[in-house]
Amino acid sequence: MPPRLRHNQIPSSSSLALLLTPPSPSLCLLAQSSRRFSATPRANHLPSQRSVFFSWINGPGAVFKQADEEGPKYVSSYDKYTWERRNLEPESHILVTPYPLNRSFRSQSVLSDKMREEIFQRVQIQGQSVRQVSAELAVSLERVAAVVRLKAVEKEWVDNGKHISTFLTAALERMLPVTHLSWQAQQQIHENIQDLPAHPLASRQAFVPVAESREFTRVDAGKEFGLAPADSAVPHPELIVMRRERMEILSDDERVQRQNERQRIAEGQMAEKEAKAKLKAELEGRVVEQGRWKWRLREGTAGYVGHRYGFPLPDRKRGHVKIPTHVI
Amino acid sequence: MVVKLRLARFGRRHASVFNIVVAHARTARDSRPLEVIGTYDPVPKPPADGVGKSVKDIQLDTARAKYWLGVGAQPTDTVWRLFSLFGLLDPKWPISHIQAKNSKAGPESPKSTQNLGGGQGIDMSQTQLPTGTS
Repeated sequence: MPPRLRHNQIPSSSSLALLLTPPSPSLCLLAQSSRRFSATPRANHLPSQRSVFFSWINGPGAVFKQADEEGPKYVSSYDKYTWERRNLEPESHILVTPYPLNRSFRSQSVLSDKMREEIFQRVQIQGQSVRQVSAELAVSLERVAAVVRLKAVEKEWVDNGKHISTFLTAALERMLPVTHLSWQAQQQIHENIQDLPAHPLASRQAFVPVAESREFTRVDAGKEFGLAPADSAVPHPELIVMRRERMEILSDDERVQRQNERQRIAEGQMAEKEAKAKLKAELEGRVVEQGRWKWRLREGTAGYVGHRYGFPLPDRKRGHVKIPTHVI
Repeated sequence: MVVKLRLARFGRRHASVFNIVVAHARTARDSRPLEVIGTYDPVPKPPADGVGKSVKDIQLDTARAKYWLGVGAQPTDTVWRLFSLFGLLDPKWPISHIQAKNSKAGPESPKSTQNLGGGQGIDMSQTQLPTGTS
């Protein structure tokens, strides 16, 4: 639809002539009278938040523009008024609190590249178990497994001549708290490796009448909820056993012997499990996907395989009930 | 007499199951064979979790199958197809082979003319033939 012009705005032949000639003062006055400016007084002038921010970022906030070797630079670790770096202990949680108003949020540390390389070397080259490396370096089982997988991918890429962008890794190591590998001193704890995930079964309330004379432990509580007790459900139950033995009065030889015995049993169980899985795979057969179907291919033995000859189907045999006898 | 590797039908109406048998060519289909070396269930079973393709079962004594092939027993096309799944034989009718044949038979159809490109289509498809797995 064409724009509708108000009747008095349509330029007539006389107004066209007016447009071509310079405006007379009387005409300007007329135009002003139809448009009045606001007479509200202006509010008190305050510096806008934007200008405050820019004065801060160009002044004391300029330290945050570049990452340092010192580690993470969060606002919380600077004094609020003087903008001087506060003298905090290296273990202070304020150093890893990026948001000053959210004290419960802690920046989690990342593994240094050397540490990740060491994990890969221990698992893939030296052949240590993931469980052992996890316990020694205080890195969770899942993280050790992930590091090994990703390092393998990285090495494959390097071998294939692919370009690897290490800039981000280097930048992250400067900007986040980092767990370094330490050879001499005690290894820095990266995370709690014994974290027990909250099982949904444990969230219900249970009221169990128990005789006072009865000893009710967390093993019994676990049974009540249908869960394994925490001592065996944690990722590293063997560490609990070792600790318990250390607290008992046992000689070192005795403890080593016990540990070796446990390891032997565990290896036996592992071998048994693998054999069982292999047998199961043989029975189920290998599956080939081709065309519209999956084909389950199994090995048979001539003489035992096949439908038998000379035995008719028992469909017409006497005594067989041919109709359904009950309805579910 | 020619010895064939073929299927013998068992099972009820509309629920066929087959024995993979070694038999003389001129004997009846379901007569007693020289040897039974496997079974084939052509009815696809839907997957247990409901995801993916349905499954067909084949059971085969591969050692005996190799022996009978080695002494000149002739597999039928169907048995050839089943054996190629086990890697005992190259597929007789690979999909690329059939496509090439179709494009050769009807070059006036739009799909085949696109593939042909002045007789090169056959050569291209020939190069896509799967390599021997046996």
